[in-house]
Amino acid sequence: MPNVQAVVSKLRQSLPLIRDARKVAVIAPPTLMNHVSLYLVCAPIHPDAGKVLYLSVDRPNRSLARLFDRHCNGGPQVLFGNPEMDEPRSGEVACITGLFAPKLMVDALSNLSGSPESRASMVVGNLSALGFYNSNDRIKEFLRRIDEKLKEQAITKAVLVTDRTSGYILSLAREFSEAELDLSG
Amino acid sequence: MADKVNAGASDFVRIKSGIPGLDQMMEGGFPFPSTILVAGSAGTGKTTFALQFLMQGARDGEQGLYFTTLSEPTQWMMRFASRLEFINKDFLGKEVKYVELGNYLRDEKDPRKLIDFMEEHITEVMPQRIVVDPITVIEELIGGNYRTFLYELATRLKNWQAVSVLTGEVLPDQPYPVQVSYITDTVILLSYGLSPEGGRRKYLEILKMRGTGHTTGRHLFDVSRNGVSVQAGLR
Repeated sequence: MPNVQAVVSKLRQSLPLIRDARKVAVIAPPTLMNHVSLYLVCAPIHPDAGKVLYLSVDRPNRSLARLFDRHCNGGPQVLFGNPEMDEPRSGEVACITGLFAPKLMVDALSNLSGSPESRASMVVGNLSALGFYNSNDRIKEFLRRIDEKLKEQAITKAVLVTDRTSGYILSLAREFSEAELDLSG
Repeated sequence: MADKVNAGASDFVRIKSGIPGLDQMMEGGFPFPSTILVAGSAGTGKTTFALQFLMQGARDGEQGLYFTTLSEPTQWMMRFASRLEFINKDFLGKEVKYVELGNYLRDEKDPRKLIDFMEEHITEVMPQRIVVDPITVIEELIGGNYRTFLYELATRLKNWQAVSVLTGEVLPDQPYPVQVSYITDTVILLSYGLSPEGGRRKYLEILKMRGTGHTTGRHLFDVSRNGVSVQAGLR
């Protein structure tokens, strides 16, 4: 299993490869999902972004907020799909059932980005974890919905972080993306 | 039908326990992430088990965080631990970081503040392996708040992407620390038994392991300067 320093170092060197792509898949070692996601949220790969929408899949916002506060100083503002954690305008979010209805999560998060003119990109923290809670069809629909949001320009960039624990989800991520970065080796 | 719908389901990631013989008893290692209780009476090898687990992680490029609740100074325990062959001193303080909870617990009895204190360190270090050794001492120090503490600790630990090993003292009137067993995914019991010749032997038994097929019953194990090793199949 690659160590933290090696993975972060490879990620740092590879940023130019994914900076300009709108749809990116990053394959991470499964034990380093936190590190890779955190780095990608904070890294300068988001187009003029004031905001990054972060979808953690199965991790509560409170723990993640602490991580971002601690390690992402000076990075972009991070919004979560939870009204309690975000600014008042997130009152637009009526219902988020995230784990078992991920496409609603996409809608909720893109609503959080505010006006259509605002530029926000999205990082999905652990795409492969969706496989524990959702059928293949739901996961496909989730990615289709992200694609739709990109076309509507509700979001400007989507970065999917995944691992190799599900060959099916990995293949979906690859189909979806224009650029791929493999940190798992 | 179910197979087709869920054909893409993700597999559990497993990490090596670091205990020779144990991974073969549980589909290759501990599920990542998960929480493990390693319970046993004094001298059964709980701390050695925990140190081996952390050293294995360090060798595999993972970060470890060791919370000790011992009432004795850390350096005293480490003097003995440093005699163990598997301890790589270069990892101490780097790949394996050490936090003493004993001093903090003497002044602070509020379980939420204690967990916040622990979580600050977890946030800082971002470990893949966490040890709390031994967790059962905390009951004596925070008294009636222990149940709240365990519930809150379990909830928070499960939110981190890590495998957490909690060690627990087994008291004479209980088979294992029952309250802790409710909050963990796996329970491993280390115990003494008598050989047919009347000598003392040590046994390891996996009592519970969520989502994993595991061997059952008591298996002989040994603790030496090489650490804990299990002789799976020998009873």
